[in-house]
Amino acid sequence: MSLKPAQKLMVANRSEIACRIFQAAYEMGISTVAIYAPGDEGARHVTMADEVASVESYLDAQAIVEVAKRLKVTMIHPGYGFLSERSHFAKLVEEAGIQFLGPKAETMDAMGGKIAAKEIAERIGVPTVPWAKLDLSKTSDAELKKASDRVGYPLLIKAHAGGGGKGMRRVDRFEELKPQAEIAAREALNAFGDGTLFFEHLVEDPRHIEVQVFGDGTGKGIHLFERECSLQRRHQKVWEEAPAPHLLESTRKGLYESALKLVAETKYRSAGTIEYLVNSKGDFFFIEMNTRLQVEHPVTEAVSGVDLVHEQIRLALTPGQYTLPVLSHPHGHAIEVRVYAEDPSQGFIPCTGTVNHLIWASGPGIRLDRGIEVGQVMGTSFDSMCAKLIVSAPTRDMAVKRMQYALRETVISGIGTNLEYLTTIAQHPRVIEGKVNTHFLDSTDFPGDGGEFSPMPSAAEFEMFSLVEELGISEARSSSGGVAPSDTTAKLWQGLREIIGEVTE
Amino acid sequence: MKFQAKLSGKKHEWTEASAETRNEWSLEKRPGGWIVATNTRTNERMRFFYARAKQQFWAKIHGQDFFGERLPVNRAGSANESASDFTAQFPGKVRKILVSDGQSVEENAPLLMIEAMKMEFAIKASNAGTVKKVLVTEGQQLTPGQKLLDFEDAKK
Repeated sequence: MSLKPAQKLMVANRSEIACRIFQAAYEMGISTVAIYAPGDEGARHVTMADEVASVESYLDAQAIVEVAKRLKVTMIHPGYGFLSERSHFAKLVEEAGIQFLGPKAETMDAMGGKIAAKEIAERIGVPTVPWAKLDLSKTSDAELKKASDRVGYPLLIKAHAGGGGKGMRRVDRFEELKPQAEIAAREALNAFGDGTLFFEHLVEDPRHIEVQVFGDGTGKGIHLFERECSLQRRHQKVWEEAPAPHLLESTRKGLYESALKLVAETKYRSAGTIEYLVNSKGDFFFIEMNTRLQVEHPVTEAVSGVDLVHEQIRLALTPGQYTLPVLSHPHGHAIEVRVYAEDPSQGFIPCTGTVNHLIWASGPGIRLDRGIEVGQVMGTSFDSMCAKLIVSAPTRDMAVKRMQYALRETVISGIGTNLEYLTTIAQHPRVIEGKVNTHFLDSTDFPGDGGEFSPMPSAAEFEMFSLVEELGISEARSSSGGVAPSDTTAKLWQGLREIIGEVTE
Repeated sequence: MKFQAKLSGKKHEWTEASAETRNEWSLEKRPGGWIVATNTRTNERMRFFYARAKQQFWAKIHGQDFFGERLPVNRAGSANESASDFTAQFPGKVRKILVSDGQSVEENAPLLMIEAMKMEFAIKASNAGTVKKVLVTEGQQLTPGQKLLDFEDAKK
């Protein structure tokens, strides 16, 4: 592959994902540009880049493109979040003659809306959550039966005009349907002046499973297997793995086939993810497509051996000659956890402070994608994710063990984190078994929320802490505020190296 | 001096090292930051982490992570902590006020609901006491450092 001269890549994002993309750029001989918004001057990605520029906001598309033009950037990677799925940004970038490392703007428009994406999926025969809209007063019993059979039980009856969960009713059998529907229609009429009902199939004990895809933009594409992302706290993914455990081969095959249909239909370009709900019988339903590189992409990289960012760059550099990777089956198993600066015992409130010490796990099968450094101030202006810890191993059992090890070896001090919460997940029998659904972390089966989650050291452990205090080796050696300059950091490390041996009373 | 630990919004006695512990365990701070404790009698070896900055501490021991506050206890037996200091830690919005002026509340009772970063948080009473005055209104935008309410701890 021959590179065009003087390629320059800007990441229109921050923190760990910017750092991760910079690594790929370095490996491909491309220079890097970071942007930073006010309050993010001390962030790690700003240290890493070859060139940096400040912007008022990571959401200011116009300003970011202006900076890119000024610095003669040749490609922009949007990361995830921020502008990554805003088609107007992709359009602005390409209009400026800069390559956008992601899908085409029109694909984002087509697949961005949940309803529009569902319509495309239905048209090409990808299963979506079945639904029906009906006016009870104009529906015969036979029609009602037909509609409800098509939706499938259990189903939810909702007011078509309503929002949220108001007046939602669950129905398990046809015998219950008519009386329940009549009540719901009356309620809907009273509340919204419209008695039209909306039936939706209820996916029970749903698992969130998604397929990573990569398309060349001409309709050709590959899938890079699936990820299980069912461990979510209030719809926020916490633990992701690849491949999905205990998945029927027929389901897996169906997921891959329908994902590839969507790639072909949309002539998808670059990396994307097709999200599904899977019920306990293995039926799957398309929910949405994420038209970007995702937070959890490293687990796919670990089992496929494909560096997704390399592929994105390669496709942009040589679109005509680009060949898709050829994959047969996933190798081993990978798990990712998201480390957040938040306090699980107090409603997951974001924690602020200055990072004063870091010990990272390393060793076989351990990958760390991080956005924090010692001396860095964690505020509340940005997302509280500080790092992603990814492990891979030949088997799932070993990957879980490895995650337990990696969490055990990781220390973050100066800010509160969810490390203890992650350890609790990693050691839970249901997680070890791999039998979870999207409700699990929020359910009473898991001690994660509602103040239940409050570990307390034992008396013997407190005694150890007291001994450390008595010996005078407890002080965290970081400067108390701001970014530690490099000479201070050097001294700090020197300070930590002093060994206090054999101190007894 | 005696100390109290405050973790997970709950207070706990901070156990001082006993003479036995002090005599039996020898501690070494290793390069990298881990502390290795060796029992000179049994040769048992234990690796843990403990660091403190001002009142806050972070620890990892037996595979568990802890972070919280270490508070000196005065002679009356209650921690020297200004419980009535309810200030906004980050920008947000007051969603709901759950108490009224003059109301007595138990420890850990929710006082206010704050919305920040698309999430809702309860501001809880760190001690039993009386809400003297609520200083904010529902829907109000908060700036960090802004006082939320005047609170008086119950007499112990």
